[in-house]
Amino acid sequence: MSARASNDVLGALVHQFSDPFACLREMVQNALDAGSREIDVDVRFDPGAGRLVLDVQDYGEGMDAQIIDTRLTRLFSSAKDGDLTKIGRFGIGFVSVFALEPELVCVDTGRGGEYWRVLFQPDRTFERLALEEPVEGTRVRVYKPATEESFESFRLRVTDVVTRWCRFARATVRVLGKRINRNFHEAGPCALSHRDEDGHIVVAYTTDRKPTAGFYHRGLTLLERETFIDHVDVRIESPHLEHTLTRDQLVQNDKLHELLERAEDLSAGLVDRLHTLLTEQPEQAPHWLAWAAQSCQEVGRVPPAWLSLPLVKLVSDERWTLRQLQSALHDRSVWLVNEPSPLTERMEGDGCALVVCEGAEAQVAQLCKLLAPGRSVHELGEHHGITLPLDERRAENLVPLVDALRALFEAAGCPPASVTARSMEYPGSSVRWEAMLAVQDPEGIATLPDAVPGADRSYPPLHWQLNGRKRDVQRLSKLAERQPGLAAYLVLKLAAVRSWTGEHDQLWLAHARRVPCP
Amino acid sequence: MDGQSISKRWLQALQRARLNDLYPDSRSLERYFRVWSAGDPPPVHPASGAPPYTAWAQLRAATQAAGDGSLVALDAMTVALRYRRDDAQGFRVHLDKCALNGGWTRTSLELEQATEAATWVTAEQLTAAETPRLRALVYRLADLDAELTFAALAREPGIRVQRVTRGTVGPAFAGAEQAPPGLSSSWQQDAWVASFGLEQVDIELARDRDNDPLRPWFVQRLSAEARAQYDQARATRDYHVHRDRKWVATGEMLAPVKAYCRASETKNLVYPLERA
Repeated sequence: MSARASNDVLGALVHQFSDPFACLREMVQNALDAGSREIDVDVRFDPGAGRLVLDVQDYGEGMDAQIIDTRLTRLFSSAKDGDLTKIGRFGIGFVSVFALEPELVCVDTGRGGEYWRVLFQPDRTFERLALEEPVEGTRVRVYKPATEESFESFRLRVTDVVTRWCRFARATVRVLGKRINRNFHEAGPCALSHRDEDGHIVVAYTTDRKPTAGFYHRGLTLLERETFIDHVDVRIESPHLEHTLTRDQLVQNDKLHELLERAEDLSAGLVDRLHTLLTEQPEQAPHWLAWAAQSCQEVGRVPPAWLSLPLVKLVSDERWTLRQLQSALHDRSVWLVNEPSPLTERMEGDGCALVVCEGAEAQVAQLCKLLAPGRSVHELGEHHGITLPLDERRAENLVPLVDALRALFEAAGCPPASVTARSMEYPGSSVRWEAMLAVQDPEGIATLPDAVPGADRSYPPLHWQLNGRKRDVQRLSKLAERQPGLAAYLVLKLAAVRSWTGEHDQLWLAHARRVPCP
Repeated sequence: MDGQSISKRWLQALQRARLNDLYPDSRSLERYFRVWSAGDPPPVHPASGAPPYTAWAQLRAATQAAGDGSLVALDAMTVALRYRRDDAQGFRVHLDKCALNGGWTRTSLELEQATEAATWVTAEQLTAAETPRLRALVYRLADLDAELTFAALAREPGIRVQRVTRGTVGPAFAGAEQAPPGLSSSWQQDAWVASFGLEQVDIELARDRDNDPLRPWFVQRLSAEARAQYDQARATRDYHVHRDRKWVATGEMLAPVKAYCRASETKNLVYPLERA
C-alpha cells in the first residue's frame, strides 16, 4: 500500500465513528479491558495557553515498551483480538482520539516495572520517553486549542457522551469527579431481572422517562433505541452482543433474536410485579396511575391486563382497579383531584368519586377518555373552592370592615344577601389568595372565576365572603376602625387586583367606579 | 490502636489504593470493614495487620444469620473462557482467598488447555467452569507465591501456564514493632501504613524486576524447603518475574515510606490515606 493510501485508510479509521467524542467510549473500554475498577475523566481549560486538556485516567494494567510499540501505535494489532474476556475487538480504539483534532496526545503508562510517556503529534507520529517515577495504570491527556466558549461545550459533550456510553459500566466511572454509572440491575421498584450464561436481561416499568431498549456488552452501551415492548424499559447485556465496526448497529445473529424473545417473555411478568408493588405500597398508587395514564396516551389504548391493577386511590382512601374506575365513569360523577382537602371532603359527602392524581389530573383525564369514551370527567383544579368558618377572635376583629362593606354595597344600590368574614386557608385551597368571593350558596362550592364578583353579577343579591385570613384584609380591618368607608372601598379594589382576567379587571374597575368614593 | 480505628483505616485505604482486577475486589472487602467500623471492633492479626480469618468468618456468619447476604465468601473461584481453538482453549482463573492471618490474595492464572486433555476446565459456548481437579490444585497453590504457583502448574500435564499473578491486600502496620526494620526506625505515633503487593510471573515479560521493598524481608522468613523450591523452579524456567508494591500511609508516614523505598532501591506508588 502506498504512503498516501495508508494515510487515507488511517484518516478513515480516525473518523470511523459518526461522533468524534465516541473515542471516549474507546478509552473507557480500554481501561476496563486493562482491569481498572475506577476511571476518571476530567476536562480542564488553560486560558493563558488557549487550550483545553481532556484527561482520562485508569488504574488497570498499563503498557510496557513492547505493548506500546506493537499494539498501541499499530492499527489492527490488538492483543485483545480473540480474547473473549475483553470488550475491545478491532485494535483501532485508541487512534480514534485523533478525531478530536488534538495538537498533542500524551500517554503515561506503566507495566512490569517500566514507566513510559508516549507523545503523539497531530500527524500521529510519536516518541516514547522513559519516566523516572512510577505511574499507575494509563493516563491519556489530549491537548486541544480552545476558547472559553468552546471549552464549555466540549465539557458538556464529554459528560453527555461518557454518561451515555458508560452508564452501566462495571467499573466506577467519574466525570469531573462525579460518578456517572450505576448498577445494571437497578431499574426502579417495578423491574424483573433474569441472568444466565447468555446474559443479563432487565425489564422494567419506568416512571421517570420514556422507556428505551438498551443493548450492552460488559456494561458498555452498544445501542440504545426506542423500546420494542410497549411501556417497558428493556436492558440486555450479553457477551453475544456486538456492534458493527462503525458502532451504530448491532450485529444481527440468532442469539440477539433469542435474547429479544426472552425479554418479551420476561416483560409479561411485570403486571404481576406492579400488582404486588401496589399491594405492598398502596400510597404509590397515584404515582403509578400517572405513569399508566401517560403510557396509555402514548399508544392510544389501555392494555387489558392493566384493568385489574389497583392504580386508583380515592380521597376516601379506598383503592380501585382501573376496571372499577371505568365502571364509575359510566354511573357516577368522577372528579380528578390533586390531593385530599376540606373541599374534597365536602364533595365526597355529596357522593362524588374523587380520584387522587397528585398533579397528573390532565393525563388521568386522558386515561379516563380511553377507559370510557364519551363519558365526562371533572378536574378539580384551581377553579374550585370553599370557604370555612373563621375563628371567633378574628371574626370579631373584622366586624367593622364587614359592616362597612355591607354599607358600601347598599349605598351603591346593590344590597348583598350577606357579608361574612370566612377562612379560605386550608391545604390545597385554590382561593387562599382571593380577597373576596361572591357566591349564590354560602355553603356550596365556589367556581372560579365566576365567584370573583363582577359588576354584571351584583343581582340577584349574592353572599359576599371576605377572606379573613388574608393579611391585607386584616390590615384593612384596622383601618376600618377609623375610616370604614375607605377600608371597604380598598377591599373591593384589592379583590379587583386579584381578579382573574383582563375582562374581569375591566368589570371590577367599572364596578369600583360605580361605588362612591368616601 | 484499637480494631475499630484500624477497620476505619482499612476502609479508607481500600478506597485510596486504586486496586485493579489483579487484586481481591476492594469493594467486597470494604463492606466488611464498614460493618466493623460501625460495630464491634475485631481483633487484629499482627502478621497481616487485618482481622484474622476467624473474625471474617464470624462476621459473615452473623450477617447471614440476620438475613443479609451482602458479604462475600472467604474464598471464591471464577473461570472465564479467553479463547477457543481447535487444538486448545485458553482460560483465565481467579481465586480470591482469605488467609488464616486475615490477609487477602487474588491469584489469577492464564492457562491453556489442550482440547484433547480437557480435564482442568469445561467450556460451553462463552462460559467455562473449573473441574474439581483444577479447583483442588489452585486452592492448594494459592498459599504459595506466584512464582512457585507457576512452577507447580508448569509440572501438571495437559495445561500450559502463560501467566500467574498474585495481588495481595496487606500487610498493614500499626506500630514500629510490626513494621519492617527500615520503616520501624522512622515510625511516628498513631501512624498506620498499608501495603498492597503484586507478583507477576509471565512468559511474555522481558526480564525480572523486583520493585517490592518488602521482598527481602519476606525472603528472610522463608523456610529452607521453600528456598529449595525456588531454586528448583528457577533452574528450568521460561518465565520472568515482576514484583511490585504500593502503599497507603497516614500523612506523617508518607515521607518515611518513600525514604524506605528509596533505601530499598525501589520506586513505589505511595498514596496518602486521608483525602487532600
